Amino acid sequence: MEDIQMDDEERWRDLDLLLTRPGQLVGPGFEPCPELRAFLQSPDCRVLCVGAGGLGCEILKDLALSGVVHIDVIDMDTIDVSNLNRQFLFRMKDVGQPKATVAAERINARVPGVQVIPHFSRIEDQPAEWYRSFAIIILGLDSLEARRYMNSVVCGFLEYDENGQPDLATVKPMVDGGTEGFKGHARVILPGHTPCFECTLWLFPPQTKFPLCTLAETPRSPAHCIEYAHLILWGQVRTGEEFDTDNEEHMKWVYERAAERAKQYGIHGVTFQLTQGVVKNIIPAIASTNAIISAQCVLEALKTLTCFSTGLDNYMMYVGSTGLYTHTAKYEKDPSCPVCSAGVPMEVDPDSTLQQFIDQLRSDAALGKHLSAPSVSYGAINLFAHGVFEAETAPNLTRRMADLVPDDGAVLTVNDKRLRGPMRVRARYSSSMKA
Amino acid sequence: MSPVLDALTEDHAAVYDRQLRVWGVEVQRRLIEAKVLIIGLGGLAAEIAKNIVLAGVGTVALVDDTAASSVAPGNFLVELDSATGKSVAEASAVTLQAMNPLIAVRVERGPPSASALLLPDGLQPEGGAADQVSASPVLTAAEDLRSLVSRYDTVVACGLPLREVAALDDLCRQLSKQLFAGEVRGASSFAFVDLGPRHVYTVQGDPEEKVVEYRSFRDAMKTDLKAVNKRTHPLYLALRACWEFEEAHCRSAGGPADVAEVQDVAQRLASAVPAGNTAAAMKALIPEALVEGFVLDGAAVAPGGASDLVQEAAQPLGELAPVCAVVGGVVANNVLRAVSHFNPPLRNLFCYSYLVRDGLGVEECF
Repeated sequence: MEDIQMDDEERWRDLDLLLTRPGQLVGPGFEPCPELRAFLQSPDCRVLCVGAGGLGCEILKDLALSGVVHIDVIDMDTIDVSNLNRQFLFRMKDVGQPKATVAAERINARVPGVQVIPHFSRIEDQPAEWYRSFAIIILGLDSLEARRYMNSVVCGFLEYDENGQPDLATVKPMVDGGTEGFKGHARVILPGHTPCFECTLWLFPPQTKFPLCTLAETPRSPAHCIEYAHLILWGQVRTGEEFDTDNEEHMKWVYERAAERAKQYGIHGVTFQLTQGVVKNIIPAIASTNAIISAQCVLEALKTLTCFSTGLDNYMMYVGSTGLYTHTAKYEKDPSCPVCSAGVPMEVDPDSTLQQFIDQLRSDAALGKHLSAPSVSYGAINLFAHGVFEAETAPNLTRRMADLVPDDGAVLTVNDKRLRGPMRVRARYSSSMKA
Repeated sequence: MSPVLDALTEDHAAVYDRQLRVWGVEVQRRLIEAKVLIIGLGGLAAEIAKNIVLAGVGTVALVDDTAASSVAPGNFLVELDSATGKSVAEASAVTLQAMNPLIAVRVERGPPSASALLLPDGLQPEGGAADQVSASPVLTAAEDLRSLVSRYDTVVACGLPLREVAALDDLCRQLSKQLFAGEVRGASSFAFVDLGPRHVYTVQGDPEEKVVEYRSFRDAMKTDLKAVNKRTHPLYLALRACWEFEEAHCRSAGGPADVAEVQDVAQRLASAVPAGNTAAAMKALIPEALVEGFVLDGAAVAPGGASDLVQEAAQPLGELAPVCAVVGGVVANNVLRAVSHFNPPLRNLFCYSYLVRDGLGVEECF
């Protein structure tokens, strides 16, 4: 049996054309040389793919075929039959297996030389330091919460120098993709340079939440009936039982109660399919959109790693429903972003109380002269506020800083009647700061 | 004609759940009835095949008798370990069928080309080719291809020389079949769609049928340059320059020796465009680096001669995986629209190069 081999030069010819030729359309600082591909394929270039689902499968394929060798993939989910219409690495017989494990196996088997390491775990269960070991992180996630988590981890690495400029050595690039039906987006996040997630949180559409009174008293749509059965009736009738979206009997129960309610109110359209969609927050998905967006993400990752072309700056949206529309926007960083902006750095003992932190501010040589009775907030949350919310927030004064603000390197906003505008303080936890 | 499915089976509903929520049961049924022929299985075609197979197109046939050992590196469907003795089409079919057991993936015999349709100089394809007395090998191969195409609704052909695209397009128009052609050459790529002089479709929420006219590839390559302006994607002129080169030399442009001539043609075309009346405007219309890349990063030039040599030399080596994935996604979406007659498909040229305008993908009509 003849071994079918392809020599390296032949196999990577197209990649070498990109990395070893000068050109007029390359990125700034591009130096064409064979060392670039060597770097891309070396252990110094580890790429993390977060998610092994619709986007993840495509991202892994594109990375492996583009010559990247050391790839890690993390996903806490197992394979479901409804994944098979787009997560092409999986087969019917894989249903129930961890996505990360099977995806890694398939790519390793198909692309000679690639080394994909799977992690069947939640992203929160990996220490932040683990994420630091990657040259670039590509996100193939399906929820806002997960993105915000990754964003806070990656932006947590960011340090600013004395001039308020981001320290380039601490900038961890991240590429994020998202899709729904025929729509999608790809964006590049360079902490300190481009906006991070928090800077542009307003980009995400508001999550559909129905007012309880509508659900309870005046339903008008099939979704109202479904959420009534799911959020109100379940708790009343099946007390103590935790609702499980993967339990078919639970879903059927909710569907039947929703249908009864719909009949009672003369509302049409409650189907089992809709019930699943509403309760599980199902995102409609097809293969082609995932292919396009994932590819765009991998292209941006390759550009960031090798500079062979100017990178996306910084957000591309794609709409493919009736024609083809893409638009690239350069969104601006929010200078007062609680996650990625500079702020005055301060070392804080994580065990100190909020009161002690405020005292630390007031006695600080540089900052204290601006403060008489400061209020402190973290993003939208008032930690301690003088005035209307004083009674409400006073209990926080005796609480531990690390409990109130779990993220190391978080930017706190300090307001004081003596200040002209809000002051931002970046609190870095350090046990050596024992009060 | 296959019988109309009364209802999707439970298996279909389970696997297709997420996409049924996108386009609905009626469109899914039309996809199941569609028959698509894919000629040539390089990286781009592999992506298109993956996407339409996953979407549930009922019959997908592959034509590529290249030995699997010579498969294009971008075709991720071929499992080299188990492919000895198989053709690229056969090896790809195994993977595609496993991706979606609910549809039928077939292999048809034939090369990844439409060169059989290119007759020697002076001979024009006649309508009554069937009554040619001498059955020369060329005409037999042409008849085979004609017969093959007639058994399907839609043809997808990637990486063919532009003369072959035109000839295949002529055939499809004769037989009232839909054509999707395209190619990925390094950073640049294009896709061309011809759904015939009268394509009917409907739009969500509107029962009234709409009709749209598509023009042929030849027309698109010869149309008045007045249609080109500053916003036209530069790849259109690059493509036309390659077309003119092929018409003059009866072979594809490829390799460093041809670059200068193609660039000359591109410059001449740009200067004939009303908007290209200054040197600066011409440069903006068609960046030199784009043309050079387009010529160099495509398939290697076929030396001509016996078919084995052609297969060995003409591997598309310039396909970058993510570019194939983007174009493959766009083409697949439009194949689905074309076969389901739902929503207006791309009309008629899609150009995408991440070297141009921040990688804006542009749809234009010529």
